[in-house]
Amino acid sequence: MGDETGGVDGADSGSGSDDRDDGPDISDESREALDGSDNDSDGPLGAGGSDDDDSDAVDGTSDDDGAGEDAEDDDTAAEEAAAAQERLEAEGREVAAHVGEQMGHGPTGEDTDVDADTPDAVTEEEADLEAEKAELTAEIEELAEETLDVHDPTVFSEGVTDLMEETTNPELQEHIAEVAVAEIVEHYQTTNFGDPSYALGDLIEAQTNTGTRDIVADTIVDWSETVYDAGELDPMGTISGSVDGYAGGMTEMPNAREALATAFAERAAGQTGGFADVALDRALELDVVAAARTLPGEAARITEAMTDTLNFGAQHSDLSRDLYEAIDEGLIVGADARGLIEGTLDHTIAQDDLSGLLDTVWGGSSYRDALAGAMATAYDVGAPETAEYRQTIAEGAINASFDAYLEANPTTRMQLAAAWNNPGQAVVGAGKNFVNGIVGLAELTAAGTLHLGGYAYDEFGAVAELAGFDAAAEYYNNRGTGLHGAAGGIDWQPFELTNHAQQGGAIIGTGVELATGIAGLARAGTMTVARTADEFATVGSATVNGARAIDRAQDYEAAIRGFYTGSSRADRTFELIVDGEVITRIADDIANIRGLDTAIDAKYVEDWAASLRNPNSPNGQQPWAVAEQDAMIAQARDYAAHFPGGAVYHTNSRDLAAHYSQVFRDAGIQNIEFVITPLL
Amino acid sequence: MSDFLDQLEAALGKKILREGEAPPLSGLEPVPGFAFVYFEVADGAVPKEVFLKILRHNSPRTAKNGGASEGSCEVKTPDGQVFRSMSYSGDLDGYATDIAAGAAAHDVALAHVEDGMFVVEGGKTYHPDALEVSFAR
Repeated sequence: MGDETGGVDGADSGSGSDDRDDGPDISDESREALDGSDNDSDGPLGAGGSDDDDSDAVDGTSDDDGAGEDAEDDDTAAEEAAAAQERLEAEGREVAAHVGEQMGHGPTGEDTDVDADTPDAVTEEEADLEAEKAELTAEIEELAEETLDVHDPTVFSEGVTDLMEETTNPELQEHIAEVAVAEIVEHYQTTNFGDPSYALGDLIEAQTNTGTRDIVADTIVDWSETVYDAGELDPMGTISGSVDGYAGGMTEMPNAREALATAFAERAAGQTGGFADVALDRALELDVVAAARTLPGEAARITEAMTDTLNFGAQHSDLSRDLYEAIDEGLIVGADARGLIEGTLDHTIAQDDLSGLLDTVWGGSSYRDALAGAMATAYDVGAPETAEYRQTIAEGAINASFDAYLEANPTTRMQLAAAWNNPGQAVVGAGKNFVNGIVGLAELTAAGTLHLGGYAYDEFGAVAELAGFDAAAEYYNNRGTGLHGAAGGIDWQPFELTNHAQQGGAIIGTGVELATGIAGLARAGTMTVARTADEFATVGSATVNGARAIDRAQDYEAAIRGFYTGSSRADRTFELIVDGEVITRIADDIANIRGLDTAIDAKYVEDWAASLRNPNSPNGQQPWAVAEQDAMIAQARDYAAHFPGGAVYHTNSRDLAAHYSQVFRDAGIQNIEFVITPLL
Repeated sequence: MSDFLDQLEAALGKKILREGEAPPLSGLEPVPGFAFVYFEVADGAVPKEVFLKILRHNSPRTAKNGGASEGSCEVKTPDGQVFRSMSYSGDLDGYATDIAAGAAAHDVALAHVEDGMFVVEGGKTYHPDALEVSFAR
């Protein structure tokens, strides 16, 4: 970082020297730079004084040095030089040189255009500006040392914001942003913290006005482009996933997400390929609605990009939710909207969303309502209570699940074709497979039974009907009283699927499982153990001192890491492949437990009753809260799937442990252990 | 810290590796759904970079799903070769292909555990007792 800043400063200074030497024959490029300095002189150096000085220059002042070849410029230069010196002296700074002496020429007395380029005087202004920049750079670097290395990006952001507020000069504000962003990236990359997205988001969020907020966001985009152009790894782009990526640390920073998404989208506007495409992806990850607003008339392009972006699996829910909001707002319409929804369904990881879709029909939550509302808008199928509406959503879910399944399993096509030709056998197969999914895993839990017996079976028939499997629908609808009745003559044992028709029927059942999520309630293996709040073991205790909840959360995380010191290693790289897309992530901490690499995670809860992770909290069903809850699940799923030892979660909240141990279990996530590490 | 780890061990019912203890050789005990391989880390090389270099060689990937993780088991052979473990899951065959290709392209030796022995591919086979095994931090 330091090198980069030095380089920039050096370049600017060099430019100034060249300008002075060249006199009036300055290049266009230099003129632009100088004009910029002129404008800047109205900023932090004192707008009133600057203006006055300019007025004096217009009036003209005498000088005994007489006229020269460059008299017009020199006249103005002398005035501005004097003004610059006054300013510098007023600020107690040392002036590098006596401006008047540098001039060597007198004025002609002729009033000239005050905007005329005046190399020598402007050079002084530049020198002044450079001095201020250097001072700011040193302040920010010192601030970074004191805060970022001890996990306190909020204090850093507040300090940088104070500096921002002390000036109105855009060039200085841009410099502050540039140095601050570079410091964050540098510190997070070199101190094993890994992901700078929270700190960057906090820096945007801390800005007190939209102007500086946009400057910081633009600076981050500049940095991202620089990284991209250099062919290097963008630490947030490559980590992009459930709780990572640019959006990952900004989950609860809507202003930051919107500002950064807008900045990225602006960089993508009207261009394709290269960084423009990357910028669009970033924008969509951050805030689909902001991106769509920034790129009016580019819905088709957004549609195409979304299908790629959705591959960032664990952020799927966030993206979907935003996407649906964009559709609801009418920013994406018609075929684009439908294509996007279908793209969403194709790209799941679909179980959660598919079950969500059907829950919308038969239950609902605000997030799912958003999806349903978007579908209703896109497909123009009326209100949620209409049969057409339900059918559209269910068909979408079923079709998407089957399409994806068939694409991945060519042999299934043959089995499914056989099922079509022999619906009776298909029904048997579907039933057998459905039961196999439960009995085979010895997980016929009370919850599973409740779901199956309570309503699911009727819906199994309804879904089958919607999918066109009339015979299956009739079979199940006629049974209609719950699983045991519907299972009829099927023995409660694992079944062998004896022919293609039965196997095809099993596929139908699988599709229904995907669509309803029913099997997910029961699928177990070495399932995460759900416990009541009182049943979790207490291990150690942690002290938190931060001023804000987010600070205390970081204290808690640091305390947990401290317990493992010597037994763990931070910053472990892992990757996952989702739908062919490779995503690289970094786990915070790994311990060797029972000989296996095991992820360690800390979940601090300030107040479970008000926590966004608690779906029963007052805001627990708000989209951003649902996204947070989804992120919890996605993170656990990644840990379980990619670390041989799974993960150990430390939390100070028995309620969180009880809730998420059940949620993880219901989601079929294995090898997650919760322990309670209370606050001291 | 020791109290903490004692409590945690009791709570989890699982042994937690302590500072100074050698971890078991990754791959010695099979873990359903996972496979383990070791890649050589030459003098001065950064394991994470080697890990990523190997994985990123094949493009597009042969592996269609799953994941790979840089492991924490470091092995030093009597010949002085240093290996770092990695695990992978999901499309095991696909990952095996990608890893082999990446290692060959970057001239990185691979090793694995087979029948209780540490086998350097194209090289020697060692009994675990002959190896220095450590937890890589």
